[in-house]
Amino acid sequence: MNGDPQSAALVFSGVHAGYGVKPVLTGLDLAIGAGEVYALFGPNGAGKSTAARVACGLLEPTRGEVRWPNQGKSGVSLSPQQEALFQNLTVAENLHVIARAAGARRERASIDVARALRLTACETRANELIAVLSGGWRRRASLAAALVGQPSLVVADEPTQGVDVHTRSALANALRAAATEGAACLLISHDARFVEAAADRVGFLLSGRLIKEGKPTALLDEAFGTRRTLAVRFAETPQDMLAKVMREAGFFASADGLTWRRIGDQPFEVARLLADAVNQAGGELIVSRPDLDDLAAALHEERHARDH
Amino acid sequence: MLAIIEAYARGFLRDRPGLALTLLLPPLIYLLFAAIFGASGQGSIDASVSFTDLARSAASQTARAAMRKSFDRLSEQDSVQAVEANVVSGRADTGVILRAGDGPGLRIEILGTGGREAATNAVAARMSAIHAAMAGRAVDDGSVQRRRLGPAGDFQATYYAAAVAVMFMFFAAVHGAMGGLDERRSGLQARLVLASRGLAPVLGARLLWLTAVGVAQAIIIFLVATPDLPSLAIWQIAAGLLTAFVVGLAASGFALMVIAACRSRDQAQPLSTFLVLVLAALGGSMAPRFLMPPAFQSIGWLTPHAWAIESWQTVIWLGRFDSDVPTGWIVLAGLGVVGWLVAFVIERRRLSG
Ligand SMILES: Nc1ncnc2c1ncn2[C@@H]1O[C@H](COP(=O)(O)OP(=O)(O)O)[C@@H](O)[C@H]1O
Ligand SMILES: [Mg+2]
Repeated sequence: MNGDPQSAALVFSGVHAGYGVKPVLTGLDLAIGAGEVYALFGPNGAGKSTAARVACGLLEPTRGEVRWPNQGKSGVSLSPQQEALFQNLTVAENLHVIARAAGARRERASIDVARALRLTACETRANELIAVLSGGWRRRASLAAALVGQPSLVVADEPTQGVDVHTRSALANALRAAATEGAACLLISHDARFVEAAADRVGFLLSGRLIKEGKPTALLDEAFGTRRTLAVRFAETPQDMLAKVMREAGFFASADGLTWRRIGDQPFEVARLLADAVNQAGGELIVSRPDLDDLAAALHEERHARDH
Repeated sequence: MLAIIEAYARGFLRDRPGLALTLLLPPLIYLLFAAIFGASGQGSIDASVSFTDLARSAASQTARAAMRKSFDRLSEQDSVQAVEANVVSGRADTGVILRAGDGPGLRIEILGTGGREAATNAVAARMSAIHAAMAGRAVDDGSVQRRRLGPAGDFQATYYAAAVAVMFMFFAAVHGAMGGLDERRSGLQARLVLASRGLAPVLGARLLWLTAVGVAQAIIIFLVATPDLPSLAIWQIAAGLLTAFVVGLAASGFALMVIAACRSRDQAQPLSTFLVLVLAALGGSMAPRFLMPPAFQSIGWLTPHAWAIESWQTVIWLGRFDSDVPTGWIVLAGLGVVGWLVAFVIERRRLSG
């Protein structure tokens, strides 16, 4: 699926928005179709949450336009960045409040609640108080609350903040399931693995506008082809000799000097050459496919190079 | 909107300690006030005295001169009715009527109300002394007499029930409204606004819920005070409840406004406590307004507390429904509505950030 304007549930055209005089979004274009999970990906402060507020109609663009061609603004639901739930109510009661606030009568609300619990696999915790649930379950409940009542557009802001692998995949499944049932989902995230698992398309947001957009797998193939990430992790910074060798082999060190990465061909050969030295230094070697974080880093670099 | 009110109600009922503090503390404080001020009857009070001189004789001139020396707050009226009205409304603690007695003597009548025996006693004692001085000897010939005005109930009981009720309604409303800060910070407010398609139902639910809690507090306090109150007619109960409703509205609107203006609990806690205490002090919730200097009595009308106490006092103790009561209701409901509107404007601006 893609942002076919015919079935679009959310359209941004040249949206500028911000707080006071401070511009955050500077000409954001995007279209999300019904049944599509679209992820806005970007570093902290890029303006993702601001875009979410505009998408919900909570923040007016200062320039440009935002439209909800399907059901208008009234079909939008939000799962905010913090877990936005009544602490003294159970999961099911929270969902009921949302359903009934949206105008559903009791019976209709019960059906909506059951559906949202099913989509997020929250049934087993339905009758527990939010206050006693673990962070991961609260996250699920928070997303469930946004899926109540068949919204035409679900905006989920950082739903995986601080959750384990298991919850992450449950949340991805929930979003996918909601999309399959026809919702458009705007997913706000800087969690690369989650976006790869959940999103049909991803847009890279940098300083208030999109710098790249497409299917995650296609973008990764296009950017990296057969190249792989070779990461070396040390417990303490490696000796100068080893560091020099690694730099020559095309590695870049993280700011703390403990993680070194190289994206390139023949990762296993390079790994084999380094294996003994790394092992002696107490480090570990990991070969993986480049992910969205790698792509984001590459895009930033490219942009930086172009700007200077 | 109903769904959100229901959510507040459920959460409230589950928070047992909070529930107990909200509903049991106020009647305890009432009992404490009643005990303290009921017992203070013996002290010399700087009572305000309203008098009229029907004798207009040489003796009454002497008595008036002595009264001017004895009482700092003395006001002269031209009829017995005017004096009675002053006493019954609380504007004066005690009334004194000077009548011509046998020959050159005076008959003195002291007017008081139930529950203000302290002031009445003090004035009666003073007037007996004046009378004795004029006669040149202590006399107990029944020329100084006392008469109680108004119902048998305790004037002060109604006052303190009203005073404690309004103070706690404001405390509880501010405390409850602070939950809104968490809802705003967590994004729950934004989520509810999207679900209800507007901020008005969300803030409306909050206003009505806080009002309901306030009304419950008022009912409990007045129930505890019932033994000290005059026996009430149905209309008085209804008018008392309606007063509770508008006081609750005023407290909730005020609380939502103050909390909307704050960014965090760290700001809201001290600010709201300060405001609630100042209003309570000026409005007569801590010390009776009828004992305050005139300047403070006038300033008091700027507080919702004074209007609330006055309205309850009028319908419950006086058993009257004069124009002051609906005026008070309008002032209180007006504060509630204005507070809510201000809160609405501020919270709507905050939704975008
Ligand atoms: N309410 C606000 N008032 C002023 N500035 C804000 C507000 N919210 C966010 N910002 C600023 O806007 C920029 C983008 O924020 P945000 O959209 O939250 O980014 P992201 O979600 O991508 O981390 C940041 O520099 C942030 O400091
Ligand atoms: Mg954010």
